[in-house]
Amino acid sequence: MSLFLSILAAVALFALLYFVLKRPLPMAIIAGVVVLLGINIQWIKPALESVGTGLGTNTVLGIAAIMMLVLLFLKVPVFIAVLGGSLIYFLFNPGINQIIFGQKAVTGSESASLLAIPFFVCAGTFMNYAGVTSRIMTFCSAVTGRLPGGLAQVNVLLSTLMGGLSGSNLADAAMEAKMLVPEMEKQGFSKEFSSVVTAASAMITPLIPPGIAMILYGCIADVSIGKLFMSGITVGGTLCIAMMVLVHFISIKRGYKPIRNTKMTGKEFWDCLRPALLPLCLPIIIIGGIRLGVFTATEAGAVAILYSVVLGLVYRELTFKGILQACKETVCTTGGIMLIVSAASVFSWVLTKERIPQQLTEFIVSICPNKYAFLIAVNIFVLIVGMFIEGNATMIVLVPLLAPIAAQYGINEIQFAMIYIFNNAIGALSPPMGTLMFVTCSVTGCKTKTFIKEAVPFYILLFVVLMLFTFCPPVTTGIVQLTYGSV
Amino acid sequence: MKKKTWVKVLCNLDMIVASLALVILTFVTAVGVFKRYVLKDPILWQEEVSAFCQVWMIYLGASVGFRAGSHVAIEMLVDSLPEKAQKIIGYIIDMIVLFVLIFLCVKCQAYIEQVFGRSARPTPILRIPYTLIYGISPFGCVLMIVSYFVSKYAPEFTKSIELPEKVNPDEEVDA
Repeated sequence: MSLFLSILAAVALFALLYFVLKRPLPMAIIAGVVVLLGINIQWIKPALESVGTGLGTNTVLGIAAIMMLVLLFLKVPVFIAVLGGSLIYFLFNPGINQIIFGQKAVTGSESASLLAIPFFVCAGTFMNYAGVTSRIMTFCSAVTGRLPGGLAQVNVLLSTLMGGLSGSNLADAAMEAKMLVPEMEKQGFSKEFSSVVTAASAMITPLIPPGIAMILYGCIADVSIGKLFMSGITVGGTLCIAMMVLVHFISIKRGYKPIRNTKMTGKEFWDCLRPALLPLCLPIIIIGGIRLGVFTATEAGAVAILYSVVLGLVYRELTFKGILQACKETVCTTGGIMLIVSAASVFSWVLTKERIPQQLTEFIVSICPNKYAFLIAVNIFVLIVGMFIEGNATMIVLVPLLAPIAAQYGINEIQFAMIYIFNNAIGALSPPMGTLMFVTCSVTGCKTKTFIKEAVPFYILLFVVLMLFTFCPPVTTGIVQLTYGSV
Repeated sequence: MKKKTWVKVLCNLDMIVASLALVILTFVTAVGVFKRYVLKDPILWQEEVSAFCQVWMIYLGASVGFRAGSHVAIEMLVDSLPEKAQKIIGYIIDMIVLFVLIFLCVKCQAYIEQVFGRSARPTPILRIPYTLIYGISPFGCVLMIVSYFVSKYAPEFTKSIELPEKVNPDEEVDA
């Protein structure tokens, strides 16, 4: 870019900051200088590179990693933090073609499989606007009405079923916190318990197909998304049943009442089931279609969008305004996720260039005696990382590092994927950075301290289920074996 | 009143184009399944249109995301600091975001110019120039910078795209 253009850009930004946004003069001037330097990076490049040569590649890499972590905690959008870390490497390392930075950023998020993410996000938001939720809820209360703690059971089952329609745990938690929790409190459930059940059950959504995390994992580690979806049925189902059992016992102990005591007649049940029938077909269409090879996971997403639009028209609840709003939400959400993917592909290139995955594999294999030791180490590690940083962002950096090691130990790729995704899901529920916890608490007005206290039985349950997945591979891979014939 | 709608459309042009790309993507993909599986006559140009719409949707959507506050960021540490420190850190962050985005913009532009610019190579079937497909990424970076500063220092401009179910993890309840 010519000098003239870069000066023009710098002046334009200066004008925007100083005259339009009324920022202080020094800040506007510094911003202009930053623009000038950023565009004409060749001015400072020799100086930076000589510093980099003095430090050595490993030090530069270390600084890059620290920079990324610091930025992550500084309220910088995640993709900027990841790019910022990589940028250090590209700036200080002599002999690296900086165009690769641009190449990876542009092409990193461009793949047909990743397109499934916007599609399923979009399908989920359309479902919300199509009036599906209330119909599914009626069905859930018909199924679980006679169990102790009726509405809490509805809460768990609703999350599981909605997981098959959308895939976002945050949206699920926000929706249930708004719809179900006030109702639960009216019926005598404590606020803390209602919030905990809502947040904990929202954790099931990403494990049920079509979960965004599964699509992302499949793309990164090159695992069949169809098989991951299939495995998600048992994983999500197990968790759902386990939670319902736990809720059952807590409700008996505290005397939370069922919704009704009389048995439903067949006709009444049918009246509750009928409106929910069409939406409940969608997961079957998605999984069946992928398994039979009618469409790929990405195309399944597009089909799901059309299906939800048709549902909305059938129910006469989807307005033009609703469609526009759903498009807006999808565009914002996917723009965010996909740029993180792009940024992470820049960072992964750096890692690959420096042969970090190979070195890490050698190191881990030398200290971990067997695959169970490795799995436990991974569980602890991913859990702790997940407690602090959003799951999808870390996945893109960590999975390319961990998956090859798991393969080295002969761990089944599907099982490892599900363990990883499950750990990430737990991280969203636990302090200090549990997004699910914050979302639910901010809607219901529950205090985080009491929330955590109330959530202890659920944490124990999650731990038990995690151990089950870790030490009992058939739970995760059995259904894949049955339907695909091999894993 | 009419002028106001105009301004609104112009200010949210990135969002409108991105939504349009999403709609086109959905239809092309769904019709593609139908044509391939039922009519046994696949759409040959499907991939080209998908790539086009995907890149446009991502880079424009990222800019919208800045205004809608939907980019994932970890707020907890900074928000617990005293106000003065928050302000200083805020300025530092501004400069970092600015530098990263400018660098990204320049390198994307350099990549596109080097690979596609000189040969002016279009896609094989529809003859869409690759520079048009990928050209949105440096442009998107510029939009992101503008969106970032406007949303941070003049949030009243961005009201129109506020998400209804915007969930705010930093709204601490323990006060």
